[in-house]
Amino acid sequence: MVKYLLKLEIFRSKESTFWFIIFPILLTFILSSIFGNMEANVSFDVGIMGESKLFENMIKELEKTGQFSFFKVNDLELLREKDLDVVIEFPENFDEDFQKSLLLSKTNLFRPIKVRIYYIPQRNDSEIAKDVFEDIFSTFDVKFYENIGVWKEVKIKLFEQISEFNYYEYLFPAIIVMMIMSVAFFGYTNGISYFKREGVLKRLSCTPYSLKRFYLDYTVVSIVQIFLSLSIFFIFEMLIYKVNVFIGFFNTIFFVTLGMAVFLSLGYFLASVVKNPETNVVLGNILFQVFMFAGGFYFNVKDVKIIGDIAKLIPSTYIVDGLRKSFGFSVYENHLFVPFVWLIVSIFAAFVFGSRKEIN
Amino acid sequence: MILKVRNLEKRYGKLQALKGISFQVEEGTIFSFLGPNGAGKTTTVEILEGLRYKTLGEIYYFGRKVEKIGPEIKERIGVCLQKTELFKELTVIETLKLFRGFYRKGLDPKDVLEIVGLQEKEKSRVKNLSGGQYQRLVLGLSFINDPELIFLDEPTTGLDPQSRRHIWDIILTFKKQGKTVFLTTHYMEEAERLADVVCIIDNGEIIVSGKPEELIKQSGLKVIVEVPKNAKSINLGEIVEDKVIIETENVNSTIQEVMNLGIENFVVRHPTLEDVFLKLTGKGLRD
Repeated sequence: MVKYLLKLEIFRSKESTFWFIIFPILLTFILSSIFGNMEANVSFDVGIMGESKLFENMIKELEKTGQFSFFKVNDLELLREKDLDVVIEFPENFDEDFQKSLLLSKTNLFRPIKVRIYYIPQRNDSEIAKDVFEDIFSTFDVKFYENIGVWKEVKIKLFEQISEFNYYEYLFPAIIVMMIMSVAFFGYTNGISYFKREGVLKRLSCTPYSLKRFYLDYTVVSIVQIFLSLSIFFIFEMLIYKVNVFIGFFNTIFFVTLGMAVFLSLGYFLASVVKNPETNVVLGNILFQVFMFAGGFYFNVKDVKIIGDIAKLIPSTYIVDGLRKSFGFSVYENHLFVPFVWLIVSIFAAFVFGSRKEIN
Repeated sequence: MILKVRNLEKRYGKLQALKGISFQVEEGTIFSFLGPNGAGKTTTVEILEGLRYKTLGEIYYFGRKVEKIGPEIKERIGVCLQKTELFKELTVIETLKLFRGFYRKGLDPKDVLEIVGLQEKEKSRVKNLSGGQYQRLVLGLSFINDPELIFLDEPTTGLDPQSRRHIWDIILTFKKQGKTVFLTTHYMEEAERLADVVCIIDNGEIIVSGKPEELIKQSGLKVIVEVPKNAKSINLGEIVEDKVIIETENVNSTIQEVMNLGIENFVVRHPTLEDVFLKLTGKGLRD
């Protein structure tokens, strides 16, 4: 049966090719275009982490140009949320260490001081801001030379750090979960209710092949479908957007498996209690949209009123966030409790409402 | 005895679809359930096929009482539902192979293809078959497991006369092979032509059963004069659809009476099972 269902669902269904392969890629492309590459700004918002009296004058001068606004920050959150273009981090006791470096510059005791510039490579404005500050620090270096004549030895080591925030990586788990939900709510649920309404399941019930076995086989086919579309999507992300899909691979596999279990169970529950495929399309769409937007797929909704509260109750939030752990974007804790509650309730409800029903 | 049913009842809420029917099917015969739509034919066969739960009653399959129609019974029966839907994107041969795979034993799908005359359509998608071809495929699936008992629920409904005859030939082949057929139909001609035993059912009750010719004989019907329904003929006999059916022992006087009313197009014929049904229930099979 699995062989024939695979033929039907993968090789002979034009819709599945679109929904499970083309659509996620298209969505990645569209969302990345919107959120991943903003137009370059003429002014830059710069975050300053740490203290430096030595650089205060420079900051004042730059503010006068009207092209720079500086803000004191404690972390990179505003950079991630795109409120800042770049963050410069002065290490603790920077001024004191810098003075020491100047004094020890001719000795073996010299240690360079690191100034970190955090930026987001996929955002043009962030990239430009980083370049600007790279140049500024180089110029600053030269000024020291002019003032104290030791510039060759005195080094401010410019330390570029690859950004901790990459929108493609942020989007990647969201598309994975979206693909699982597509198969579960649109392929799996609709497939079962369609076959049920059309009478195919009724005909199968007349044979020794049980319907439980059919549901199991159809689940296997849906899982194959998910893995197939995920594989294509992973290759696409690696080749086109240079996302390292193997970061936290076991974490990814775990949350993909959890997502499949939760959403396929929920889909099975819907198919068990709702006869009409059209009603299932509506219900599937509602769940899909709520899980997607309230689940913080495309932007963080944790602190948004009402939506943030809904987010805490739905499984998609924790599954996406769990996948984001691999890339360091996780904002929730306890990723298992809510998804497991949904999983158990779905299976239990499907069993209670779906069993001993006559096939019509 | 291949199948025996005693006091079978089925209720859907307050509606009693089957009111305690009893019958038995002998091995190697074609047993027919004849009755109008809503009589309880499909409910009965769907209970026997394991698709519905009985409310009350006893079912004996192959000499054993069964409470649930499980896989071991399904291995030995074949089913052709009143409306069968299949996976439309599969080909004819794939469909036969798929169903063959559900059973431990059975026929070669290619042989089935030959019996139902669909060799040329082997690689056609199910969705591209005509109504008659589709029904032959459905019939093919009903004996892919080489069953001892085949349920055929109105297998020719909606088919053109040629396709219907083709299906009848296949059903008669089953009988020649010694298989037992449980046929439900509302076509009197079908029951008369194919069935060894006819069970007339109406409103969830079996009215009468027996061999078709015996049922006609037992009904006491002599000759039937059939005239078109109009203002002149309306009081002459029972109205069935657009006709008035007059049962008579004296053909000549009835014809004279009809002609006196100015009715010239009439048919004189022997009674059929439909006339038996009409006599017993006061309504036609297709009412």
